[in-house]
Amino acid sequence: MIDLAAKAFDALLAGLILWLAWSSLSTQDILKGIVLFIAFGLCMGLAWVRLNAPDIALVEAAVASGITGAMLLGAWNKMRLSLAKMRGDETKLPEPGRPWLHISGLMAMGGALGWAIFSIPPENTGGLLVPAMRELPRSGVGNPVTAALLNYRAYDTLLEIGVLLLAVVGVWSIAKSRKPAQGVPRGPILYGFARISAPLLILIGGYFLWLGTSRAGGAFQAGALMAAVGVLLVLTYGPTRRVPAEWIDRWGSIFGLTVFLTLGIGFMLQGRAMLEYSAGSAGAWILVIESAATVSIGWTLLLLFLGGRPQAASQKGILVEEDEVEGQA
Amino acid sequence: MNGIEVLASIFIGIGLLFFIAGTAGLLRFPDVYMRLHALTKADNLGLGFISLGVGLQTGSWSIGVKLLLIWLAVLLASSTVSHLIARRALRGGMSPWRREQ
Repeated sequence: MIDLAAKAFDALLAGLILWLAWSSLSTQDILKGIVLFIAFGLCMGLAWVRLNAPDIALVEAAVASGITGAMLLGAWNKMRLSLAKMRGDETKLPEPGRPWLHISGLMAMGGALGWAIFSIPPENTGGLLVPAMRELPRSGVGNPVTAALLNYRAYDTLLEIGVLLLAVVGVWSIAKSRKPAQGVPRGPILYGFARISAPLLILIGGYFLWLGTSRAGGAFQAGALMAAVGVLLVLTYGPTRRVPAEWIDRWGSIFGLTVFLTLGIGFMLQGRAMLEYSAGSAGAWILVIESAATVSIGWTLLLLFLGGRPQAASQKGILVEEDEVEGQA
Repeated sequence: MNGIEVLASIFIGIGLLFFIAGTAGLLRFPDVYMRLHALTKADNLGLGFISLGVGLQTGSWSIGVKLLLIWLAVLLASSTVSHLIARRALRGGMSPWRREQ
């Protein structure tokens, strides 16, 4: 009975995910598409929970749905304003041409993926989990996902953090973050909310970081929460009020990669392979790297949300453009 | 099924009823203010009852306290967000719905 109910729930969830994905892609209204995409991310998070992958569920909810959703909404806001300037308030997409070509292409791709999954020999299902669990006591952490990310394949994570940094470099070199449109002044309730929840979110981020050593959690989840604090503060106080000087942005976003690389090279100088921790001290080094990575991931995601290089400083690195903040209690 | 499990199921059932009522309000009410009214009140209560039920089911104090914290965080966030949506709608010139005479 319980089993049947669980199967029915899974089927419903899978159907909902497909429907949300399709509606998000096929709608003509960009804002509606974004909102559906955020809902899609949350349902994907739920699906990862059902697949016993809480680590990915957290990242999916925090990064793919939360931070990406905020970025998309920010981009929509900018686009809406510039489009409205050009040709009235139109944010409609053009009609897609030849839908059957796309649909048959997608079906072929889906078939190929399905064939790939079903052709995996069943004896492989234990896969890398067996050696991963066997080496876990030596990895310095209690969570196999963290062990894979920062011990077995730390090189991958190093490159991932590098990719995030490259994304910021790319965004900074093509766009400037713009002054927000004059909008509705923010009321006292938003300020109160930001004052209560920003410290709380930082605390929960630290908790996630610490939790990553033994259970679901880690640098990416904690970093996404740090970015959420930044997004909340930017939305409350505006990006141009008390934005830190540019050197803080630069150092904040390269900090994690710097620590990661320094440690990796340091280990090589001690005669080991890159990122090969010395026996017994792996846990401590992983925590150091994860803490530094959390700062940088948070900073990088926030800079991506701002959508461009903060504009030229008028006074010693402090941006002093006026903001429209009113109604501050 | 012992007493605590029955109590937990009752709480979760009550929570689900509140969610259904809130969703019905979201779908049926005529304007944004009334929809927010339905959602915030009903869903916050519903989540509270479900958290209570799930907390009883797990029977662990540490999970119970975490569920309580999650509920409080959702209360804070959802009321703030609803306020912002309503404020934005009002400032944007959306007048509250009135029954036609």
